[in-house]
Amino acid sequence: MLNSLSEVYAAEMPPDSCVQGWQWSDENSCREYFGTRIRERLKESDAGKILQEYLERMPDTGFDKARLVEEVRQPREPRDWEIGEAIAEVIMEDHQDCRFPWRVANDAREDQGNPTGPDLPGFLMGGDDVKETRFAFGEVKSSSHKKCPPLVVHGIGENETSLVAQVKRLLVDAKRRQKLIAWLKIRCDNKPEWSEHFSAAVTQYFGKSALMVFGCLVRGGVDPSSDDLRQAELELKASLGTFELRLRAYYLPFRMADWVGLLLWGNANS
Amino acid sequence: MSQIDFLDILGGPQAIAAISSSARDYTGFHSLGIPNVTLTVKGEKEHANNWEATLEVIEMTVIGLLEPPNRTDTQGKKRLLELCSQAFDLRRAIGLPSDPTERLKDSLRFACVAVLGQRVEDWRRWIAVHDYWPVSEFSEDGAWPTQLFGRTAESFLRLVRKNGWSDLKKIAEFISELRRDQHKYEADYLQATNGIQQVAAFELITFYHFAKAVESAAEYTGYGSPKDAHDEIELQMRYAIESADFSGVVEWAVLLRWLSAALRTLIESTLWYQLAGHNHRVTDFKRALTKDEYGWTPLFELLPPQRDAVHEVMNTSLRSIVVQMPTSGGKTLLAQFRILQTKINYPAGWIAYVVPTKALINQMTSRLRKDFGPPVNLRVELASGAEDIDTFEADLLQGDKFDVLVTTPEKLDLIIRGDRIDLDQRPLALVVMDEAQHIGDIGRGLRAELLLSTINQRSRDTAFLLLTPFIKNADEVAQWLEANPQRHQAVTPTLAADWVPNDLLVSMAWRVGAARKWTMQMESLHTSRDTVEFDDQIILEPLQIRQKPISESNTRSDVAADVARILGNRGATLVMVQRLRDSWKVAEALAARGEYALTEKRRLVKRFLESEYGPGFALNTLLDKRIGVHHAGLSDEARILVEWLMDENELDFLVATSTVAQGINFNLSNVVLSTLSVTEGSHTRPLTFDEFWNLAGRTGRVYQKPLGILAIAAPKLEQQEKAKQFVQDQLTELVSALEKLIDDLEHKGWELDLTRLSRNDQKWSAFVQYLSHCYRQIGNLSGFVAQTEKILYRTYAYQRLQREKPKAAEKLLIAVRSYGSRLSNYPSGWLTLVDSTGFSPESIQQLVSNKTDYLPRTLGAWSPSKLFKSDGAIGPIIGQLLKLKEVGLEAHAGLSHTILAQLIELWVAGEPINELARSVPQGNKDNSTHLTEVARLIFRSLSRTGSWGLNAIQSVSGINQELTPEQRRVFQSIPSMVYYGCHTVDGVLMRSQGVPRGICEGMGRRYRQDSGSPANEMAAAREWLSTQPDDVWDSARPKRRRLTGREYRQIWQIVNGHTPSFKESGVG
Repeated sequence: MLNSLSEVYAAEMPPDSCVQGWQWSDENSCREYFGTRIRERLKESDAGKILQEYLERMPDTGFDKARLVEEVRQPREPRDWEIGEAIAEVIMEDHQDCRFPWRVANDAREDQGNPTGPDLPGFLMGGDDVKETRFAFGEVKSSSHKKCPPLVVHGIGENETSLVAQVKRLLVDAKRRQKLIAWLKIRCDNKPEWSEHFSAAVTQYFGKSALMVFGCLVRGGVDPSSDDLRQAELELKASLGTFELRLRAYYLPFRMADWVGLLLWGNANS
Repeated sequence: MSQIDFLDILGGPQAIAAISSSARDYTGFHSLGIPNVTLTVKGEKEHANNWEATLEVIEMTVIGLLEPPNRTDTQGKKRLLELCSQAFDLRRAIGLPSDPTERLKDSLRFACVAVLGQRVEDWRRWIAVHDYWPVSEFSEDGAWPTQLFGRTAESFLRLVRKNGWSDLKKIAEFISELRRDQHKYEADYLQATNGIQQVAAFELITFYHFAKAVESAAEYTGYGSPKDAHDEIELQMRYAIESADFSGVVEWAVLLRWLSAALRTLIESTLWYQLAGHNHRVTDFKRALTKDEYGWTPLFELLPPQRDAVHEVMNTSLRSIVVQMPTSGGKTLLAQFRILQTKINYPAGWIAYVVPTKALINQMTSRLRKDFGPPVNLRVELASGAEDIDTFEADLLQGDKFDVLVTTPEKLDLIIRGDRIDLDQRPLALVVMDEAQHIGDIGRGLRAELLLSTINQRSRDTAFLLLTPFIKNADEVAQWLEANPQRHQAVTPTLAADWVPNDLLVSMAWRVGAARKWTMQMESLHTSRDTVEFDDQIILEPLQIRQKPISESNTRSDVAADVARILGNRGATLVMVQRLRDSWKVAEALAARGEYALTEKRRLVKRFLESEYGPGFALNTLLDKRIGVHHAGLSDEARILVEWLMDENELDFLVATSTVAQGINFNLSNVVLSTLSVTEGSHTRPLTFDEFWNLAGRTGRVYQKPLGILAIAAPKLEQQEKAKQFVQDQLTELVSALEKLIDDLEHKGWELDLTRLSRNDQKWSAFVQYLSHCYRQIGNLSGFVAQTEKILYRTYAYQRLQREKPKAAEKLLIAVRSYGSRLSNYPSGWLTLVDSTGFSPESIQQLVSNKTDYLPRTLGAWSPSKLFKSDGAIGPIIGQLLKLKEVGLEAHAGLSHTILAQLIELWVAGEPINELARSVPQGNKDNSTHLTEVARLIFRSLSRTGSWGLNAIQSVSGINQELTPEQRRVFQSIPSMVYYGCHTVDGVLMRSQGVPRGICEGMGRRYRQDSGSPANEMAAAREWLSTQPDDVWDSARPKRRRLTGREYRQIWQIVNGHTPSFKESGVG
C-alpha cells in the first residue's frame, strides 16, 4: 500500500535538511490503508471496550462508579486527531522503520487534566543489528487547513501545544525524555521481544547521546508544500545537539472531516 | 541482558561535587558563613556536572528492581536500598523544581526513595528544616483530576511523615472529602473533556484506587485494621497501575509503580505488620505505643534495623540472643517486645532489665512504665543503685508480684547471690542486659559477666538478651550462655547494618595564624555514607586580632571552647571534657556571651540548685547564659535536671565529663571532644571504639538536626595524628575483663595468686566472690575441686581462654583450685556474708577479725539519731572502711574518718552541699571547685561506698537476728539513709521514689499518716505521691528551705521522667 507514497519535496530542500514531504496520491490504496492498518491500530486501543471490561471486575474503592459505567454506554466514534495520530504511527512504522509497541493517550484530554506528554514514544530500529536500535520520540499534528504552514505547526503567540513547541520540548527537556524512557522501561521489562531493543536504545542514549526526535504533520486533502515545515526546521535545528531530527509531512488525499467515515465504513462521504 | 545496569553504562557511580544552595543550607555551615561544605553522593569529583542525569539513571535502574524477582531476592533488595539511598542524597542536593505540579510529583518520588532507601528519618528532617510542604503551594481549585492528584499526593506524603495522629486523621478526612466531591465534579469533568472520555475515566479510576490504597494504609498504620490491609493495598495498587497503563499517562504509570513499592514498605514497617500473629498482649502493647496521650510521640513503625531484627528477638526457642544495633537503632523497643513475649509464655516469671549505671535506672524505669502501662499492665519496679537491700526492696523482692525489675549488675548480683528472691517460686524468665559490651570493662565489667554466669548456672530456664553495639565476636558471646547452636544467636540487621540515623561529620580542629592574629581550622576525618564533601581544611571564622597570642592558653580545653562557640550557632552543643575542673573552665570560656531572659524552667532548676548547693553556685550563673555543666560533682537529681533543660531546648551548651555519655537523650547538633580519654576514679583510659561512635551517633539521632558534627580539639600535631588514627580504628572483639586482668598479670610477670590479688587489687574482687558463691553452693572442697572446670566454664573469660590461650586457662584452673582450699578454711558464715554484702572473702575476714574495734556495743547505738552523730558509731565504722582496699575510700586522701563521719552526719540531716563543704579544708581551691569536689565525694563515693560498707558491717554484726520487726525496718534502712541522704525509714521510701532530699522527710511523714502500712509499699507510695496536690507538698517542706511545695513537686515529676505543667497548679 505504501507504494503509493511518493516523495514530493525533500529534493528541493538543502542537502542537510531533515524535512521530507510525502504524498499519497492513490485514493484507493489510501482507503484500504484506513480500513486495515489504521483501523487495527485504533481497535487495539479501543478505550470504551477496555473500560467496560475493567469496570466489571474493578474492586470497590469507596468511590461511586455509576457515572463511569454510564460513560461506557455512550457510543463513541473516534476523533479525527486521534485517527491522525494512528495514521502517523503506522506510517512511521511502515515507512520510517519505527516501532511503537504501546500506545499512550496523553493528548486525549484537555489541558486542565493532568500534564500531557508527547504522542509517540517508541524505537527507531537499526536494521538487522539490534544494538543499533535507538529511542524515537515524536509529536503528531493533523490539519486540513489550506494555509501553509497550517496553524498547528507554529500555533499563535506562545502556543505550547504547537508541533514546533512540543518537538522543541523533546529536544531540550531531558526530564521529559527521561519520563518516556522510564515508561518504556517498565513496559519492556520482562518482555523478551523488546527488552533487548530497550537496552540498546538506552546505551545509545546515555553512551552516545543518540536519539531520534520526529515531528509528524498529517495533511488531509491539501496540496503538498515545502513551506509547511521549512520554518519549523529552522527553529528546531537551533536546539538539535547530538540528536537526529526528522520532520515529516504526509499528504493524504482525504480531508480530515472524511477520516472517521473512511475508517468506519470505507467511505469518505458518510 | 534482561536487567540493564544503567550505572555501568555511565562508567560507575556518578559523582557530585557542585554545590546547590539548598545543599549548603542543609549542612548548617552556610549559616556560619562557610560556603565550601557540601552534601554529596559517593564517587569521584570529576563527573560532577550532571546531577539530574545521574538521578534519572539511578531512578530508572530502581524501576527495574521494584518488581519480582528483584523485589524479593536479598541481592535485589540490597541493591534497591543502596540505589534509593543514593537517589535520596541526589534529590536532596538538587532540591525540588519550582513549578507546583512538577514539584509535587518530584516530592512524591523523593518520599518514595526515602522510604525504599531507609532514609525516612532524613526525609522528615529535610522537610522540617526547610519548612517544606509541597501541597500548600498546589492549587486546590483545579479540575477534578487536579484535585484528586493534590489530595491523594498530600495523603501519601502525610502517610510517610506520620506526624502523630493528626497526619493519619487528615488522610481519612481528605479521602472522604474526595468521595463527597466526586459527585460535584466528576460528571462535569467527563462532559467537558475534549479528549476521549473513556481514557479520561481511566485516569480518574487510577486516582480512586490510589486514594483507597492510601486510606487503607493510614488506617492500618494507626489501628492495625483491617488485618488484610496489606492484600487490599496490593490489590488496589495493581489496579491503579493497570488503569494508569490504560490511560496512557506516562508519568502516572511510572510514578504509581514507585508509590506502590513505597506503600508496601510503609505497611511492612508498621508495628502491626511486623508483629502480626502474636498474642493479644503484644497487640495491647502496640496500641500503647501508638497512643498519643500525655504528649508522647506515638510510634507507628519500626526503624529499619528493628525490622531486620525483631523476628529473631521474638523467637522464644532462642535462649541466648546478642542483638547488635547501630547507635539509635532502637534496641530498647526490641527488648520490650521480647519482655512481653516472655510474659506471655511465662506468666509467673519476672524479667531483670540490667542497665550499666544507676543514673539510667530511673530513665529506663519511666520509659518501661510508660510503655507497659494500661492496657499492657506490666508492673515495672526498680531496685536502686545502692549496694544494699533496704527494707522496702526486701519486701518487694520477697512478696511482691512485679513483672520487670530495673537495676544495675551489682544490685542484681546481690539479689541473686544473696537469695533475696526465691527463684523457684518466682522464676527469672529473662535477663535483658543493656549496653552489654561493658562486660569487657576492667572496672565493673567482670561483675556483670559473672552475674550472667551465676544466673545461667542457677536457672537453666532463664533466657538472655544482650544488647550491644557492633562487636566482632557477637556469636561467641551468644554461644557462651547457651552452647546449643539451635538456641543461641547473634542478631545483626541484615539489610540495615549500615543504617545511620542521619548524616555525620567527624572532624578535628586547631588554631592557625600567628601572634595575636589567628583563627580556627577544621579538617574532616570521616563522614557517614560519604555524603558530606569537605574542601580539605576549612577556616571556621575570619582571621582576627585576639586578646591572647595564638600559643597562649592553647590547651585542648581552650580549643574545644573556641570550636564549641563557633559551632554553637548551628544548634545545641555538647563539649566533652576529661576532668571535672575542665568543665568549669570550658563553661566559663563559653560564658563570654550575654544573659538570656529567664524562663520558668531554668528558674526552677536554679532554685533547686540553690537549695542543694547554697547561693553563689557557679552553675546558676551559667544557666542564665544557657550553658550547663554535667559531671560527678552534681547529684543525680541535678544531673537529671540539667539533661532535662537540654531536652527542653533551654540550653545551648552542655559541658560534661563522660558521666553524661549514656544518658544523652536530648537533641544535639554538635559534639566537641576536648579529650579522647576517660577518667574513672583515679585512673585514665582511652575512649573505646564503641564509646566514641556512640557519642558521635548522638549528634544525629532520629528526629534531630540534619547533619551531626563531632569535632575533636587537637591543638598539637601529635594529637591530630592520634585523632586520625582513632577514627580509623576498626571494630573490636568483646574480651572479658578477667581475660584482660590475666593478660596484665602475665605481662607484669606476676603470679596468679587469688588470695593475694583479692587483698591488694579490688578489680579481682568480683571473681573471688563468684568462686566463693560457687563454693557455698557446693558446700565442700572436694566437690569444688571436682567441679572447678565446670565453674570456670560458665564464664565467658574461661571459654575464650580455653580456645585461644589454653596455657593461661590451665593456670587459671590451678589457681582456682588452690583458692578453693583457702575458701575451705573460712567459716561457712563468711561465705554467706560474701554473697549478701558483695565484699570479697578477704575483706570479710578483715571486717570480722577487727569487729571489736568498730562495732557499736549496744543496740541503741544503731539508732539513726545516735549513729549519725560525729561522736556516734559512724566514726569508727568509717575508720574501718578506710582500711579496706576494696571499698576504695582511701582514694580521697587526706580526709580523716572524723571528717567523713561529720560529712555523713550533715548529709543524712539533709543539709545543703555548701554546709557540708565547710567541714572540709578548702586549701587553695576556688569555691566552685571545692564545692563540686565535696559534692563528688558525697555523690560518687561516700553515699555509695558508705551504704555498701555499712550494709556489710551490719551483716558482720549479726545483730539483725535480735531485732523486733520495727527495729529491723529501721536497721535495714540505715545503709540506704547514707545512700539517699536522709535519716528516717519513710525518708528512704520517698527518696526511692525520686522525692528530692530537701522534702523527703516531710513527705514521708505525710505519707505514713495518710497510708498506714499498706502492702506493696513502693507501689503504694508512688500512687500516693502522684495524687498529692501542691498544698500537701507545701505543708511537708521544711520552713527554712527556699523551694515551694509546688517546685518540689515539679522537680519530683521531672526526676520521674515527666514534664510538669508550668501554668496551672493542682493534682498532676
